[in-house]
Amino acid sequence: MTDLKRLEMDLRGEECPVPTIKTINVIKQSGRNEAGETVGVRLDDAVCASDIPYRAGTLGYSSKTIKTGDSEWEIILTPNTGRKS
Amino acid sequence: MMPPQYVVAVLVLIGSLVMAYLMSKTDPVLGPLWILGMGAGFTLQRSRFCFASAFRDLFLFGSARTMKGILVGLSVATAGFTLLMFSEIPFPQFDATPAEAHILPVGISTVVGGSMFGLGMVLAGGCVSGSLYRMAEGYVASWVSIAGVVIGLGIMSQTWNWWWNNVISNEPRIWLPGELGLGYAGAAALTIAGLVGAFFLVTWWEARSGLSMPDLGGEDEPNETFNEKLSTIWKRVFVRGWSAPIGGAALGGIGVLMYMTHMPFGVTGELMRFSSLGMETLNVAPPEPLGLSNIGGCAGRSTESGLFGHTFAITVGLLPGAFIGALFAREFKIRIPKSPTRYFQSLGGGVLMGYGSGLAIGCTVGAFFSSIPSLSVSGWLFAVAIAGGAAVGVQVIKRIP
Repeated sequence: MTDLKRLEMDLRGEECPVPTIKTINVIKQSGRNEAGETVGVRLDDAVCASDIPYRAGTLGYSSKTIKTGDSEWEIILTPNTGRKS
Repeated sequence: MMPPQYVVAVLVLIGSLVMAYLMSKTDPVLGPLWILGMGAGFTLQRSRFCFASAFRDLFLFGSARTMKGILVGLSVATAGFTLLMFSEIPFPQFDATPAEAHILPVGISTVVGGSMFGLGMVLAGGCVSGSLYRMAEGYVASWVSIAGVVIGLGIMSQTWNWWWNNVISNEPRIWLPGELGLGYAGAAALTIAGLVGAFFLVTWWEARSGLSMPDLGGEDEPNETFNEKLSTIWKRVFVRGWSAPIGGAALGGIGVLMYMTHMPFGVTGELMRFSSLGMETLNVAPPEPLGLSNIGGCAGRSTESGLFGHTFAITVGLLPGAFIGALFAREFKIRIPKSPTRYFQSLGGGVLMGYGSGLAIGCTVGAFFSSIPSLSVSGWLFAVAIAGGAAVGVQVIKRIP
């Protein structure tokens, strides 16, 4: 199994909706290049933290949210296998 | 051992209640208004209720989640306000209007003010009430936004008389119960019908955007013993976010209670007072505004003297309420924008919001959330104008790095 390259984004300090917009843009772009890569997003905005899994879900990504501190999260977005490009 | 955030929250809570007691000694109404202000702040923080995101997300993501919550809140408030207005003015056909209801002039000023406000709130990342609760969560950008709002209100107040003389004095205030023999029943029914229609409209809009909410699964927690049940209740109220309809309904209810105590929920009146005080200290006091003494809404309060007034209780009370909510949910964190662009966005957006809300005599709270339930036509036009401004704002923020 090849090691999936992971795109890391540190969006701490950015207020909603910026984290969501940037994450979606990255996902859409990565979908155009390859089969889609795993994206890791670090953020500290609660609204976006709950929003991003939904938005990424509609684009065919499953998500895992890890609380990395008080009001700090890391969301790992993995493209679902067999999703259409 | 209690986490430090909880300790601070409890201290702030106790301090706030002491303040409520002390304020009531000057004026008994101030205590309840302060506590209701705190309730509003708590509700806004817990449900992350932002009018800006409600409008913006329609255009940015095709999502109506927050907007639906607002529609629920508007329905609750409409019911309550109608009853309160009826008890004050049982016979609406004789040209008298309830003194404190937010029945505002409707016309060009509404459209220009609303558009500016809609654009500004999307640029700034939050409306006025949204920025206030986020101030209490530690977002430095929101402090900058509110400073911008105060500045914008100040600039507006210097130009108000021009607007009054050339535009606003010719604009009618249209209060539905007094129109066309509608009465309260007809006016309320029409308003509710409008809200239901809006609900269908935004649902259709969501469908058109192809948005579907994937099932992320709920959290499964042990919930059998008494302690576990208490823990679940604590989490639902103080830790997890509230859903938009619950937040909206709670906010609507709080608005009704505020009106019952004295006046509907509004925040720009108090900010206008700050801005006037600031300008007076700098010896650039604005001219006496014409025409505001007969209009409710967020105007005319600027004449309330003294540090602690009714608008102070409602607007400033929001901050400790939101602060307590953030602390118990461990969501308080000083968040400093990394890029200088954000500061300009927040400031510029804030100034636009300040000028727009000064012109429209209220923001998304005073000229919308408290105006539609006041059965005033202005609230509807303001909402449409805000939506237009927000749509433009979305195009702008998509292009900002």
